[in-house]
Amino acid sequence: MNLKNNATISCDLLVIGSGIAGMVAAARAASLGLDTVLTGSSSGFFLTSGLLDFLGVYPVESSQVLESPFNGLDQLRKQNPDHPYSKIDNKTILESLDFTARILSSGGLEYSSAKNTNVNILTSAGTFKPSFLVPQTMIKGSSIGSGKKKILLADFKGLKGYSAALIAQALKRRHMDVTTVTIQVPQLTGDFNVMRMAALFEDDAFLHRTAKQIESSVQDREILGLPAVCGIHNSQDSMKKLENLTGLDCFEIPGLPPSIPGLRLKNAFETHILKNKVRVFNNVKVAFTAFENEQILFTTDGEPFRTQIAAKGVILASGRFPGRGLAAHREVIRETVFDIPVYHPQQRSLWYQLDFFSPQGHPVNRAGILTDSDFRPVDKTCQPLCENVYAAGSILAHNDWTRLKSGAGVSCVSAFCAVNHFHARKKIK
Amino acid sequence: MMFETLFYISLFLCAAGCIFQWVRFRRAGLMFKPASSDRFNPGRLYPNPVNLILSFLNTIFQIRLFAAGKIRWLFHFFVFAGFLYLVTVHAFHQVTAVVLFDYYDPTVDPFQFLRNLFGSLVVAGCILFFLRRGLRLRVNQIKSNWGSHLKYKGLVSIILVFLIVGTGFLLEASKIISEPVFMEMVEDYSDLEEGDELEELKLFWQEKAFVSFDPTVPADPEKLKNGQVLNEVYCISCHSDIRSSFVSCLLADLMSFYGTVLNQTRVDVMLYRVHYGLCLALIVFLPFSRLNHIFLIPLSIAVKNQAPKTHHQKTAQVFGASLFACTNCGYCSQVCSVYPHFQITGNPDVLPHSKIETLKKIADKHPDVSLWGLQKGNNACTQCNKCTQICPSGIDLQTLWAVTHRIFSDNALVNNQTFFNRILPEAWADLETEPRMLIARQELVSDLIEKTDAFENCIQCTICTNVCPVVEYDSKDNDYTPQQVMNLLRLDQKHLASGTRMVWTCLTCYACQDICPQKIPVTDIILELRHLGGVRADAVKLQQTVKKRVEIS
Amino acid sequence: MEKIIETQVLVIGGGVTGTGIARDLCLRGFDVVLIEKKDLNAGASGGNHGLLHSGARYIASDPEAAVECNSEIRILKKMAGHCIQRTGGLFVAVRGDDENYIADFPGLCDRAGIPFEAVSVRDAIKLEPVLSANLIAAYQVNDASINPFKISIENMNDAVSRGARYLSFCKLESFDMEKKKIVRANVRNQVNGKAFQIQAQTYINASGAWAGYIAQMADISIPMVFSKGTLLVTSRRLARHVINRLRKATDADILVPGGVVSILGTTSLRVDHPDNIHPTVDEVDYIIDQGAQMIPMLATCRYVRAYSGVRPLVSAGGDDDRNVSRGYTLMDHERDGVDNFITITGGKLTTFRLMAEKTCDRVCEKLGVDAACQTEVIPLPATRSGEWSEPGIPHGGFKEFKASGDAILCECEMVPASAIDSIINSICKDKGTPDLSSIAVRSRVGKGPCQGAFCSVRILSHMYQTGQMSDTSGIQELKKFLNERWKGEHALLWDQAIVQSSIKEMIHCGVFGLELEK
Repeated sequence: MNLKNNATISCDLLVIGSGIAGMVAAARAASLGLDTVLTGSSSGFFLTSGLLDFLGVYPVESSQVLESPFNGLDQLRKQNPDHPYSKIDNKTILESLDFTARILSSGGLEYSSAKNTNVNILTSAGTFKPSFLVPQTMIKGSSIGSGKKKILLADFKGLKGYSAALIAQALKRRHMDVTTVTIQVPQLTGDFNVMRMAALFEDDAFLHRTAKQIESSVQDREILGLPAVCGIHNSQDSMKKLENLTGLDCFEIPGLPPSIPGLRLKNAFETHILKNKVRVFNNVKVAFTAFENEQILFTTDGEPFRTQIAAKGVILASGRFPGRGLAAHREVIRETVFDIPVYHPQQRSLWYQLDFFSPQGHPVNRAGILTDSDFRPVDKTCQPLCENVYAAGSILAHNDWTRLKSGAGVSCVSAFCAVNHFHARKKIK
Repeated sequence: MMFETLFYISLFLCAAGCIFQWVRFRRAGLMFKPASSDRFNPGRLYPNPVNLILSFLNTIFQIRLFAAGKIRWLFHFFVFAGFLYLVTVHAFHQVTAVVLFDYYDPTVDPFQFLRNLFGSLVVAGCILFFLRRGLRLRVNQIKSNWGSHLKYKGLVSIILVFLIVGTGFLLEASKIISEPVFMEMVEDYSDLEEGDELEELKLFWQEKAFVSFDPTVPADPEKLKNGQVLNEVYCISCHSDIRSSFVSCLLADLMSFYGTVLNQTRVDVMLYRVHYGLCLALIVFLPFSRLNHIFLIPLSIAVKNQAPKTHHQKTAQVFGASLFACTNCGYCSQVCSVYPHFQITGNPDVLPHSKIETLKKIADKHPDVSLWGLQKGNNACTQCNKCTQICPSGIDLQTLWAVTHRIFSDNALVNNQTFFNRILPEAWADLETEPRMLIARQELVSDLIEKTDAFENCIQCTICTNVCPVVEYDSKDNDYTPQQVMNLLRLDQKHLASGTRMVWTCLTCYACQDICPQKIPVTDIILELRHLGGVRADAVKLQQTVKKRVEIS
Repeated sequence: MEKIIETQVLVIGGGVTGTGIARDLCLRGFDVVLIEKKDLNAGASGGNHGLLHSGARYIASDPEAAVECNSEIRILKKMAGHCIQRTGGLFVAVRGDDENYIADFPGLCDRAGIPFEAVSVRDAIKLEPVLSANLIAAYQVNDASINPFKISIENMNDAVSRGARYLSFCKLESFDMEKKKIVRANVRNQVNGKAFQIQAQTYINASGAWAGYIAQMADISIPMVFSKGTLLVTSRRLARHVINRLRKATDADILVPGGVVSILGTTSLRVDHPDNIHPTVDEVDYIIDQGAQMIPMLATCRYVRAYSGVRPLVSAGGDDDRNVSRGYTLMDHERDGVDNFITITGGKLTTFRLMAEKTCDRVCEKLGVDAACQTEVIPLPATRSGEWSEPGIPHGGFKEFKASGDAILCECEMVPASAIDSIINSICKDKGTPDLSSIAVRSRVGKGPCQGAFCSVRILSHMYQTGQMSDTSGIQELKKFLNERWKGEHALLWDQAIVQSSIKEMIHCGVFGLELEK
């Protein structure tokens, strides 16, 4: 690669944003043989739970938790024709999720699902969250929902923001049989961080010591719940070793960021993408400069190496407010790369509800970019703004993923379909 | 008698000078003793003989210098070897050559020839020296004015040596052409009277040995032949062929044009006095001139090689003896690892040769010494040991810098790393010092500390802390984590932030800055805080120094 | 069988006035019980600027109040210095402000005896670089800022140490009346639902905005007017002085430094009921636009939260609530036919001590006790329980703190686990129930930029881990706390604040799915 000042890079597809949508888009593009450049920062993965949801709740007003996403999908499409899922059929959705699981597997991380149904995953707040594709280290936890298992919950002394007792009390409300054990970690004292904790799990001696401390609490227990810090690079192995040592089934419980399952997800995506020759500009922000001869030109920020990128197509997967794909001002919400018009409630007084936990969600969370059925952003007349610019992921409008539990699903599906469409159009030409 | 008295007076003065210098060196050693330690022992300043011999060998062949610079070695070798011969065999022939060789006479070969040979070596060395100084033929000359104050250092010694040898040659030449000397010789060593035979001998010496006679003896081949016979009879036992003194011969040839005048004024006597006087001057001047490095270098090398009993002992020795062995040759600065530091800050005391000069000044209680410059410069040292390795004088510079660190720390002028290790950030924040005095705050490139939008966006996700290697491996000694430092800034506690261990132990690996989901320039901010803390620390240290009333300078 | 607590004086309301009265009475040797339906400073005492007026603000509208303020601020600085920051204040006018008012200002100050000093525009900007370039006049006065939570906590602590009893989350339900007298108060503990009675010789209604409702229970009507004031908190401190707009008192014209933040306010909006008030988007925008005229940076800086308080005013007719006297109202209800009932309401934070003094004087008079007020002469002792309500950082060495195995639970405001433990201890000592909200009242928890997103879970987990909480209410507690934070947050979400709140929603709704929990 030429790193000279003002070098120009040409590519088929530029993916802006390195979240789930960006990663899936880049992986899909690479698998279709497109010359792909990926920009943006992947540190947002630290804030994700590591679970890949599809559709967990619908309708949100009645807080209806779905046993299978497909149970709510038809109703969603009917009531909300602008929702990203309304633009795609079920087969494509499954195909895209399958594709995502495969690329993660190629990156060294196994995800599994339960036959087209949601799995309910216990979180560190003691709640159950409906999800679809779940890391192997968490999948066994879905079996406790029945309430028949005898559960042992472990926490670590000094690990902040996670308490087995808190979860146990919440589970007792659901009449489950729970006991807890607190594990001492002599290696770590005072104010330590989760990364150190997670790294310890890759040490066999530590696993032995941990198993020994659990030993006396095992008794009649059948399954062991641990905070989601069981190893960074070999979490599946560590989990298996711990299962062998304790004789219990083990599962991880996702919780507060910084999230180790999120880090694993990031590592797996990045491993796969680098293996497949996607050119990655990590931590690089691009600024749109011009449309020129069917190409879209960008410059990267940061002196002195300003690089020009000329792309035949763009996937805008820059995320919402935390990813800075959208920027909210006192009066208006703007899209930050192209300044594409953003659909949002007009007055700020309408953005949020008075109840933070309002089941129907805050209107501003449904704000975002409106697209046509091929995920190309549209103007007021519903015509695509540009033939070869696509939007994918959480930036899309009408998808309140925190309420629908549809974040990763929409990201995977929209990215997958957008890349497919771009590829098909290119071939016709 | 007169000359002898003068010689002894000079020797006495030289001895007095040596004592004076010795006291000075010793004072230098004691000057830098640790303020707090009562175990301090100036140590044995006299190195063991084996080391002394080894280092003396080095002095003769100048092996270290050869490794450092060839041209410099060459003229050193010329001057040193030549002068060493002249001093031992010529100047003090009474106690050396006369004793050793029964056929010795200054005018007999090989001594006459060797004297000229070594003399010419000295002259050649001196000329090389002057050329090098004048034409700046130094290898890897550091391009700046760093050495301007050292430009004339050592010049007096070399001029003196040059003059001594020069007058020596002139003296010899003037003796060669001198008629009175010839006549004295004839009177002393022959039974010739005024007459033909004397004329014949005169003619022979006039033709073959450039003696200027007034009036000139008319040439005649017959007489010359007779003269030669006479020469063989009377002179040859004490006078080798005059041409073996090849330099003086040349000079004599030239001088013989004015031979009559010169002989009438007895220029040879005058030159003898000058030559002798210069030699005495050299003796008196020896302890104070650059020439003392001939003795100090072996001493410092011997000291370095000697295993000290304690660090303190070494301290005193190193300072006492080797501080003054430095000749400001500058090789150390040419190899200095932190030379770019000097290029940017312009602080000459970053460079070893300048540091040692400043240290000397401190030892001599020189009034205008910038302790700040020296402290800053010394702090920049990475202890790569290159200076010690190359130093032709064999000074243990590395230890010297380490001791200098301690001098400063004993006088409240510790380096910033140590300073912030000793003070708790909370106490640091409470100090009522603003860095407005003495050191003007250098303009920061981006001033991130003042730009709230640089750090205000922190979302408390603690990812930076999770990836920080300092937090990971130094959790016991570290206090605030990177994101807590950002919090301190938001809480308007920039002084507290600048005193935290995190700021001073940061490895600048940029992991936190790379990973931050909010793109906060964490490491850049930490580096700026380090700068801010450093500037304020200077002011605080100055206050403390003044308070302690420790007067180094 | 209901429990009956007997005492000499029952104080209703745990705001700054109520706790002030409790301490004053204790100093005079009375036996006192204080009941509060929520927690300390739940009303206007917790929803104000934390400003001690020099009095200059009232010189035109209410000269009497101005004089009171001037003398009170001196006393408080002496008696409760550790709760006060001597910030000093500036009155500034910008182009377009009423020039007559500016011209009258020095004269009016002199008449009220309020010290002031004229400052040139250039010097004013040098003092406070954030001030607008359109400045036309500036005066320096003796304003100060006070930590209202700390002063209440300290007052109550001192009262308790002198024998008073503090009952939090105890709501007055009714009075038992007999022969022009209240004989008993019926109270219910809001946490465990148990009812009990308190029998006292005198009942003091210090419930601020709720004074009308309490008086109603004794069949007395007080014409209360509720004026809602909204304030904004910036994410960091913008100015060193209190900055007042030099104009007739109106909206959004004071910026008060409160430790590490600045507080901008207020508005004045008539509301029907003092409960369930919250800042609205319109108010927030209005305050920012007004404030930015004086300090342009207010238009662009980041705000961490907004909050509202209700000024308890006793109506004298008229529409503009700012014309209603901000002076206090002391009513001895003997005239209304209830002999042992006193209501104290209205007034302002600056004069709370004076209000307590006058009330207690009346109590003495009624009970025939001859005891002089001592709050003027006995300084308020500084206890450690108030220290975490101070913004800032752990005192003492942070390294030792770390070596002790302590952990920071609230990263924004650096509140460690040990502080949470000591706060919980002190709550338990008052027979209260420690929960996130009561911890938040007594510390900076949840007040930083993350607005409780991380610290709520960390503290809750800590409480469970250490056994300080062991029931099933954890999730509800979390929801309650976050919703309380949300009240002050939802109106100012843009720029960075919306990023932060999105992450909060991501964690608590996206991952934890708390909105699905009933």
